[in-house]
Amino acid sequence: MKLQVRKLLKRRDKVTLYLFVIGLLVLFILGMSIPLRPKVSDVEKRELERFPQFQLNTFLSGEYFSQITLWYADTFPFRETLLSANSKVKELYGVKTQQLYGAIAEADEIPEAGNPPAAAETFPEQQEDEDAEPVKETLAERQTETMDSSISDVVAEAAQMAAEAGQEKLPDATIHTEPEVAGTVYIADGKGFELYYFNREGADLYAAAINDAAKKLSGTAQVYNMLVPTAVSVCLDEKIQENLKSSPQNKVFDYVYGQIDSSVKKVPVFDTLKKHNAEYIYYNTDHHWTALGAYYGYLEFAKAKGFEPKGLEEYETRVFDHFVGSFYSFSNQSEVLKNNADTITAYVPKGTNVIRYIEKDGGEKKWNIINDVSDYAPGVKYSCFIGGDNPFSWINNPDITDGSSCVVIKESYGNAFVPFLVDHYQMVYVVDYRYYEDNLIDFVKENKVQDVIFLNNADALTKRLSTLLGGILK
Amino acid sequence: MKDVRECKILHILWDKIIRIIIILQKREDTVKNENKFLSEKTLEIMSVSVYNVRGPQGNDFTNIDTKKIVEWGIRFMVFSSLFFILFFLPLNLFFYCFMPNIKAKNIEMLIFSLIFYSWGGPKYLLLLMGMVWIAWFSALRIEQYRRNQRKRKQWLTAGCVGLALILGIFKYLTFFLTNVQALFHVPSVVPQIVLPIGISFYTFQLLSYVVDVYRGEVQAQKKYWMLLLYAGLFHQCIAGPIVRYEYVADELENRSARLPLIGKGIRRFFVGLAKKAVLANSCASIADSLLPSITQELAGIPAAGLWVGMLMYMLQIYLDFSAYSDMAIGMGQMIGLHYEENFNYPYMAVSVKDFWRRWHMTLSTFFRDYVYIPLGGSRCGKLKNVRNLFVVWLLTGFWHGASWNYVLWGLYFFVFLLMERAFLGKLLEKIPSVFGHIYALIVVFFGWVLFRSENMGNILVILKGMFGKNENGFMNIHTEIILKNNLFFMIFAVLACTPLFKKGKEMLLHWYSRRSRLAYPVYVGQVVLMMILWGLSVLALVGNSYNPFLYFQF
Repeated sequence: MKLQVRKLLKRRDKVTLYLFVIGLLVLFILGMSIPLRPKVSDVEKRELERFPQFQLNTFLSGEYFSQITLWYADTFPFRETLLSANSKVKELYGVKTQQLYGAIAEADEIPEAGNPPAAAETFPEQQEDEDAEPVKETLAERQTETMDSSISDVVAEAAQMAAEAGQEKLPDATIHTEPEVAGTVYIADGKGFELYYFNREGADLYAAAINDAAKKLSGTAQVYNMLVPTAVSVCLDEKIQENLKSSPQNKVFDYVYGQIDSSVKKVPVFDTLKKHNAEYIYYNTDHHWTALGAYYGYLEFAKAKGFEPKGLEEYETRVFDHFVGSFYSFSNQSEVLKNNADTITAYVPKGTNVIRYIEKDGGEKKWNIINDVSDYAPGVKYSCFIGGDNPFSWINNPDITDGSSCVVIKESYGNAFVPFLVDHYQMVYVVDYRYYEDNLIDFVKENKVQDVIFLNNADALTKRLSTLLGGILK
Repeated sequence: MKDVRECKILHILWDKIIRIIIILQKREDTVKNENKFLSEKTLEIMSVSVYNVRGPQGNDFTNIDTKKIVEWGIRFMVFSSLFFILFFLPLNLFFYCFMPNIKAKNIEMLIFSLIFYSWGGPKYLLLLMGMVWIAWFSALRIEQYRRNQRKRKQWLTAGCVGLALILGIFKYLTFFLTNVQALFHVPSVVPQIVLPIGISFYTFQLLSYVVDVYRGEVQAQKKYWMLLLYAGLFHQCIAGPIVRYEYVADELENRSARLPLIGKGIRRFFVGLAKKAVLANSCASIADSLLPSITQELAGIPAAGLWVGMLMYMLQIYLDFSAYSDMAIGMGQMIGLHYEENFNYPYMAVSVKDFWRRWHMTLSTFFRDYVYIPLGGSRCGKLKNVRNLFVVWLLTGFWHGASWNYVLWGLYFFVFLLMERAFLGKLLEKIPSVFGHIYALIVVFFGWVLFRSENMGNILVILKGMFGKNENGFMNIHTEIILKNNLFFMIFAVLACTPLFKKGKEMLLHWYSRRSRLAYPVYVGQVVLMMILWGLSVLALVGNSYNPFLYFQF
């Protein structure tokens, strides 16, 4: 018996040793398989760490080595598969019907509508003390910015490669610049919601910028302003919103509209969207609204401007399935979201499907208003609308020759909206104020644009974005 | 005449060392001022990968505590990094196997250790080598003057003071000057000295070596590089256990790794790895989301969140620290070195005294043997004994970090130990041990509150908030979601701190042997478990997930 036990123990230790050696060998070789190492992360939409270049100072400070360590873990072969497996393991940690990623911050109190703004009425000069910005704001301001810029870069690159290859459609040609960071994401029922924290200074600056534009354009063009709520205010129970300390966006909009001059036509979309909140107006896994949501916005715009909107059934539709958006990577690949991937339905304008735009690096591109993104990575499919975020785009509808034109000044929420305008103007200009560098007022005057439409989601009411917006309205 | 010359040489060398330190430190400062400590890009990537996992901190890098943890976590190689377990360790073991003799093996270990240590910046290697040199040189002199008591004492003092001074400069000078500045407004600028990693651990190892040579318990090591190997061995250089020279002296020169030991070591290593990569890191991420280090945010956490957060922190500290010891011990066993055990289920303690017999045992015995007993221990007057205890606990607290909260933490235990000595100990023996457990856990729990933050304000906020004095209720949705999301994990983590699994295995073995049957399933289970733990750890470490290093203060 004793002998048998000893033998058994010996066998156990032998097997332990063999498995250890084999395992180490396999993993060592896997880790050394440089070609297998991914360079970009489709899910996180960022470029992964690169192997550092040797420099004497980074070597001496130890940074060189730490970057190697970082590179090794960050670009491990099959990282995405392994990460997703890890999040499956984490599913066992507890009950995951509701999840929260990011901290609950404190929002500013929303003043009653009609209250005078805390900041100066006129738009301040751009020299802001960047360092003095409160933490909360830097958090909030980053989100929309980075999310959109990464997507647009993806598209820009894809476009470039497509042009070079002389073909229109490309399989997943992605380059990823900045990581996507949102503030706080709440997940329930398989849907993500980005919590919204009101920032008064940002809102005041926004209103000041719009007023500024209205004053400068008075007599030249009609200014419209559309503030679009995000999913959290529209689809989430008010009690939960309150518990999560997410500011009610309808009140925020009331406050902002209250400050905006009466010459500006305000397009209220909150109530409409709220009414339709049982429909598929926001993506489950992404922070944007769907084309259907944008369509309801378009109906409100038609009402404000006074034209007959088209019916949804009149459009030709394109469907792209398996869209897994920004919330997925932000939640570290939440299984719940992955299992609830989105389907994008896009409506092709009747007049034309051609858009031209200037890229961030200055090049000019011809692209599709609704582009086929079936072969794109699951995370970047929102770029099917107007080629993503570009500094300046224009759409010429050959069916209309009355000289009508409009310019949409937007962040990425505008992308799903613009296609609906195409059938109502001869020229639709699109400006993404985060990248546009010229003077918009001059542009409107020179081109005799009749309608100037500001379209922003609630998260754009931050100091930095409003400052950028004000910057192009000088 | 000879002595005078030696003293001069030593003096000159000392001077040189200090100069080097100052130069190195200056460079560090300029680097820091330029804010290139970590490149912006690295920080950004860390901010994404780290904070996504940990969640609630957002990407706020104004916060010193968080920043430090993040920086240290990647500034040198930790056992629980993929690079270490899948690249460094395999290479190390591979070459080790093919070294023809023990000397070659030792040289190989030394080279790997030096590479490992220099990972956080090669300049600190000079410091390590310098300190080993001091210990080596003074120990040789001590042995040389075997018959000259006065000389021996001088060299002992020289060695110990030299080592302690360097530790003092690097670890405590900034703290000391900051306090002096606060009181007397001089000096106008406090140099921000960066703590070289592992300095507290290897300084103590070297101190114990010098003292043991003086006491005649071990022979002085003639070869400098062997002493360097002892102090710098990557297994224990950075996070303990504090291995005494006398325990490994023989094995360093002459050892053989036998199969049972190797098998045991391998399994032990993976238990440690999983403890760190899976359990401790997850505990940390929960604790950090419930105990944010920004005071205003902390004050917004409801009572339940603070209690759970502190519980998670308590688990994290044990799991993390003991995991490092497990891995060190395991790696030692793989090559035939026996290190002392460092933890023995400390949260099963029945009194504070018992806790300290189970927690970081190599540190406690160090203070016992090299401070407490030399001071007279308990074999002197009552008042002196209290003084001795006070000194030991003051130092214990101070060893954990140069900040008042650690001092407070040490003295906090001093108070309870005194009480146990006076009356509480006897009382605890009389009542059922479950009360002792509860008492010890409560004391330790609040001890960790003191340990949690160097910012005294935060400690007060936590303490107040725990008893509902922050006026934000017992529970909010944020806390509730975190609790629900991690419920099963938390239960498991608590169980992992108890001997439950070990006891279970023993009972199974017992059951089989009573029936004269081979415990086949148990042994197969051990191997299978090892593979599972390995797999889970790799999964948890891919992609730079949250992997804090706790001992940047030690």
